[in-house]
Amino acid sequence: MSVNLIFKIAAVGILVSVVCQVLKHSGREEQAFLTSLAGLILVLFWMIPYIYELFETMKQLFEL
Amino acid sequence: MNLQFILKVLGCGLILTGSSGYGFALAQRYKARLDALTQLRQMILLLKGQMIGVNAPLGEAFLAIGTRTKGDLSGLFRQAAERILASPGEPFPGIWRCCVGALGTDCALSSSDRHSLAAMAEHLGYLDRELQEQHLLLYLEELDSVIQELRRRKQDQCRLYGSMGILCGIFLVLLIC
Repeated sequence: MSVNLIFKIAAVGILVSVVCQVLKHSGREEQAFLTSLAGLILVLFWMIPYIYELFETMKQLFEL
Repeated sequence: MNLQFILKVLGCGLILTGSSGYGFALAQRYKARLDALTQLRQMILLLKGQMIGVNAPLGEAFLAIGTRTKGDLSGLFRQAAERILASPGEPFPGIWRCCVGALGTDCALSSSDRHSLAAMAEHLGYLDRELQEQHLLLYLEELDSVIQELRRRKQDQCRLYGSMGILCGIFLVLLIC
């Protein structure tokens, strides 16, 4: 896992919070909610391979 | 700096420029719609003056307004006038609907604006003067409320389109890089 991924996740987090604020200020709360949900799904999509790898490593380590 | 990095930076710049440009284009379209509706309102007022005040026939009234004003809407009025004068027996609502339907995508009016504009002429050309005036006044009231709403939301909407264009561009750049 490279450091770039952490930076990308941080940038997505900042961007999503800015977009949510802009949309909430314009009275579009539903779209702000959908944007934050989309950001969350995107970050999870990036993280899933590493989470899977973590669980596999734990299984191997404890011989489960 | 290798070629790959330069190409990446160029690509990101193009994506950012494209999405920001799209956002600003949407804002411009909003302003153009407001200007078109304001112009349409003035033209309908002139039409009312021609029909009720001067007592001009429909074809001549539309031609007079079409020649006095500029833009896509003046073209619409001129086209309607030409068709009225070319085929005197044809009912006016049908002529008007055809002409409004033929308005290109360059015209900034939305589909709901075009639908209202097409419906405006349903009662023109055959009722008495007072009823025609009432219908025009009703349409003018409808236009006024739409224009007021657009003006009220203009600043917020234009800022939203611009900022969302830039932010979406940044988001796409993040996804791709």
